[in-house]
Amino acid sequence: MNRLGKRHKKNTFFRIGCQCVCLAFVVLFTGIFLGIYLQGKNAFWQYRIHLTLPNVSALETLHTLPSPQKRVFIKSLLGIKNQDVYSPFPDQFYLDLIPDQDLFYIGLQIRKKKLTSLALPVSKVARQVLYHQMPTSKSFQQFMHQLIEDKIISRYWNWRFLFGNDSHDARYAGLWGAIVGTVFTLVVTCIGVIPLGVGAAIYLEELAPQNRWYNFFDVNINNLASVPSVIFGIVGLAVFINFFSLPRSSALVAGLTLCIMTLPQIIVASREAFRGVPKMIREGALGIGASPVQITFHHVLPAALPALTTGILLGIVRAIGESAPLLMLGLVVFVIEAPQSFSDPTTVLPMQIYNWARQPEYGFIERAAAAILVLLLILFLLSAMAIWLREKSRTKHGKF
Amino acid sequence: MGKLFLIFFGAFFSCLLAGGKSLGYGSPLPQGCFPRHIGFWAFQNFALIFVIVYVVDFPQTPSLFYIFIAGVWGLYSLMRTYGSFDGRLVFEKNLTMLLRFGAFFAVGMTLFIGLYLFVKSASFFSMVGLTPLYTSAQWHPFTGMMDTVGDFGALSLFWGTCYIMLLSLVIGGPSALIIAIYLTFYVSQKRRKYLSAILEIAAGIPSIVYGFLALIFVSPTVQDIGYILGLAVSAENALGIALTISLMICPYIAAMITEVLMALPRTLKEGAVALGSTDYETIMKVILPAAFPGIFSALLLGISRAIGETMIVVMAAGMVANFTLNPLQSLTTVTVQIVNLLTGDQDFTKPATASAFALGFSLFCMTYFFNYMSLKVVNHYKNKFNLR
Repeated sequence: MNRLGKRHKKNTFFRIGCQCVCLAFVVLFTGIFLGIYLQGKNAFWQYRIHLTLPNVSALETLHTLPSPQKRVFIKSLLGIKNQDVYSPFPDQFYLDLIPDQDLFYIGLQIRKKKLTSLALPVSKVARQVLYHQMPTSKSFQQFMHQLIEDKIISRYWNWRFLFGNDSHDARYAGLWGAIVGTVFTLVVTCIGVIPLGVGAAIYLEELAPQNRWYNFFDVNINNLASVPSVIFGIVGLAVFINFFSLPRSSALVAGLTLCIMTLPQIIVASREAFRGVPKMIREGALGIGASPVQITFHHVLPAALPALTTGILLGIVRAIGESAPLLMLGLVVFVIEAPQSFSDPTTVLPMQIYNWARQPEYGFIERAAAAILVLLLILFLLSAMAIWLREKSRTKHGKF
Repeated sequence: MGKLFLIFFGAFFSCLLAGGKSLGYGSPLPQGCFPRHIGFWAFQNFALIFVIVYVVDFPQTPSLFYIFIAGVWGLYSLMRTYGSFDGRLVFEKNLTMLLRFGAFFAVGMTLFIGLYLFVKSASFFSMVGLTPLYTSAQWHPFTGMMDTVGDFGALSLFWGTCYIMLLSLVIGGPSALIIAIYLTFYVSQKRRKYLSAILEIAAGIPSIVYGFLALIFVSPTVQDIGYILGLAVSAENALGIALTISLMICPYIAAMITEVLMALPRTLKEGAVALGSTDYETIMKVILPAAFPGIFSALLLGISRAIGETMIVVMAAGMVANFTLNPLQSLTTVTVQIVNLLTGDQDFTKPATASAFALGFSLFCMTYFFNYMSLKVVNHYKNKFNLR
């Protein structure tokens, strides 16, 4: 009896241990995403100051003014009406709110777009105060809150982060170039990899004679599927850029390299999909006199289509998130405008994250975290779709 | 060259489509939409080629020559569609050829990559000699201590790679196994579906995310904890990297092991339970020994992923080649150095650039070995249990 109790105690301990490890895993992953979310959420919202703009010449002489006069000028820019409330705050606060480089930016905007009013992102100092990231004097906080109360500063959904181009100033940096670059790269990859990969899988699974060569193919493709991605970067660099002299850091080179990288994966996944089709479908078609090509294209391919789509989607998911080979193809460049063609300098989402994560300046880390959120959202949607499709196809084939 | 290419492919596809006319293979429209006699598709393809050649080439040259060739091809395919010609056979033959090309392309790629890296690293070895890369620990690729060529002793790089890989496997492997066991044996069918979907999505998270984590969160945390304990911890410590890599490979390995455990015959578990063993005993004494080869191969694949991991180490590891057992010190890996040697402007005749190819070749061989081993083990296992 005692021994039996011991055995069951062991069993219980093991089960609880397993549960603990799993729980720890789930908690860890949730914590990670929560952490990234907390880091990145501030990039999606932005505090902006409303300015009413004078003519350009007044702005250009502003640098030379002494700070009391500058304060008066900035006050007029802000459109402050109740002068008495603002009078106790020192000059320095106004200069922190709109530093000199921002005045330069305002000048540029007026000249370019002939604006009369502008919503400017708050300066780094003001931002740190608003997000409670920096201990400051009470009076500066009061100053900021007064501005918010007067609706001179208000919070906006930051469309510029998603649809603006990259910038050296974190407040203006946006993802659009990277998103367009990712799409361009993916187009090249898909055009290359889908026909080639699915074709190879069809050949290997349905049409190839089963001989020595078949085994050789089998082993090689399986091995190629787990070669580290850096290797593909080396080969892409040496072959596409150095030998074929395609434009460096372009979507074309990146797409071709990713195409080589995902090809074996797509082949393996597509073969799995074809293997999942019940044998009786093939035999039935053969029985009524279909040729191998007819069996494949009229019967097996439609039956395997959901699982095939799953495999292709998962391959694309990997291609979207892949960054190591692109590092060597020069996609880490700073891109001012979204690429117009396949040979323009391009950056992709992971490379943009890499770029921003390494920037020492304030505000870029949270941009990187927010970009990760965007990337993960895209990947999550794609892979959820893929998994849903597969589950659907599984239940469908369960009926056979 | 480009024009000839175009003509060739245009003609090839025209033949393909014309050949398929008898069964409507080449048609994007349903059968019976158009009268299919007199080689309708062949004629259409002739027109198509003509348009392509005209649009692409006409602005540069008169291109009558190319139009003539395309026309001849089109007429040829038109002629072939008359009489007793069986389009389906030709179509199927051509299609099979095209598909075979895809398969050969993929396999050719492996061979090409291997050969290319081999040739490039052979040129490196002829510059520097075979031995220093694998015997010396002096790594100064750009400025050599002994002479101007540079010191290429990659032993410390291989050490860094292996050490980080071992650390992450020690942390990630057992937890992956436990997660897989829990998923397979202790979770209800409905929950398992969701949990394994989560696992799969976690396995698909790109490494740049983990690199960001290592850079922003894990390495600084390890450093802080070390500071509290009074230890000297480098900012680019190996432990933080290993933790992050283990976090990355854990769902990857766990998903594979789950698949292995699910594929085991039910009779094994049922037999053990019928003999009166508890769940723990069933798992430890029956299931795990039976699934050992599969688990082993999953671990090998995890190893090869940890070895090839680039973004985490590029973002969080150091550049200085240390030769140390202390996980709190900074280590560098093969992948970091490859990226370091090949980013920016590179001169392909320099030994520093060529050494990246030698390192890449070594990495390729290592992962190839692990993958091959894992495949062997799996095949052995499949034969043993008569699994498909």
